Amino acid sequence: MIERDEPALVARALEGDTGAFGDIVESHQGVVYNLALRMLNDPEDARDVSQVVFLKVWQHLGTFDKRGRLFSWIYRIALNETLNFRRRRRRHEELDESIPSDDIGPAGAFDADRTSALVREALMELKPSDRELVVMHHVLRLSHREIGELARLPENTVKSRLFTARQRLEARLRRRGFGRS
Amino acid sequence: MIPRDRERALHALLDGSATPAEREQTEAWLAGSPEGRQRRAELDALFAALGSLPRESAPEGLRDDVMEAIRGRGVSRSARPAQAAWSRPRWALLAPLAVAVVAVIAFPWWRHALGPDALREVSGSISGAAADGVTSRWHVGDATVSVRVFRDDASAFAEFDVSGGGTVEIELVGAGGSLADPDVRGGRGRVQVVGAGRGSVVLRAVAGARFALAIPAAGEDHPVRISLRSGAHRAGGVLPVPPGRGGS
Repeated sequence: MIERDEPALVARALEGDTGAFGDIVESHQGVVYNLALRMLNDPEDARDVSQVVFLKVWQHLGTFDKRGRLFSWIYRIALNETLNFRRRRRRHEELDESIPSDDIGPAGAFDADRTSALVREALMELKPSDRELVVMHHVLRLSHREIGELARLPENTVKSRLFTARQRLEARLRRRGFGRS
Repeated sequence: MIPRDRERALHALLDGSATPAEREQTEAWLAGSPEGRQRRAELDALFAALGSLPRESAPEGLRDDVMEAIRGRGVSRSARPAQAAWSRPRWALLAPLAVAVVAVIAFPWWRHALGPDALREVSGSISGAAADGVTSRWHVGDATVSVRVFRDDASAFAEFDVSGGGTVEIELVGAGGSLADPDVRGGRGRVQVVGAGRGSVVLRAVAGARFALAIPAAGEDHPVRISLRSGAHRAGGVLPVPPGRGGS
């Protein structure tokens, strides 16, 4: 993460300083990529979406309201691109071959990689608005207040929706044998 | 069965959002409730599982790819705001209108989705084939896909040359929503329009095919992203598009 005076970087990028824009990319590429990765569950797609996001950020930087947070603005573009990508993909995609069968092997045999894989699969079964909240809180480690700012929701609504999303995720994990002793 | 308010309190305890008073109250309840402690153990496992999702590093070269696209292709600025995600309350209010609009604009895609063209032979000359353009090359599975984007007086075209082996699914997204009614021209070989919508088109081509597709609004303000699939293999990125004749 590059820690610099972000308003100054934006001003320089607006004057055409691509180096300054590169620093903006460097600062935010982790969040953008992880959001896309966990929402799409595909590293190649996440990379493509991230690239398109930053091209759009460059193209539209002049419309960014400098009173707001650059992070929030980039995040919303990233979320929009990710959701649009998934909608387009779903139109054409056959059933995802990665969705596992009920046969999950010996009960209770969960190592860290397997648990992580199960969570990724179960996440993909959530509706996007639930998945987005779980990713923001548990992967991107954003606080309820930060999520509220990004999603334009009251903090208590964020907590309530996140609670519901986690319950739905837990139900899907249990169908895969998670927690079975 | 744990009451819902207790369940909420446990979640708040585990995600750190409980106030000190709430925490104290929940812990007092847990001390006297074996069922509560059992549920807490289950939720501990759930939160640990959620924490097992690593935060990945951005892929190597992402920044360089973005900067290359900006510098090398002269991606210019737009005065139009970037499309940001809508807040949900507004979406809810406008949902009926959105349904009606989608029903109208999605028609071209449904036409293909309900009855996609079969793989068909294309033949003939490609308009503007002699024009200069920007060529990119992608390897996916056993196939190599060369894409030359060129312009004539009226439009931009992507000329595909699929070599090697296998069948490749080609998805183009973007181009300012100008891909609704794909205009595929020969060439040679076997090509299928799998689906098309306002902002995307999916084609399937057998190795040996050479054909062109009009991408009318493609340009610096309307980038085109290409995704290629062949079996389990994937490739893709942003399609290089030459600048418009106005030099914008």
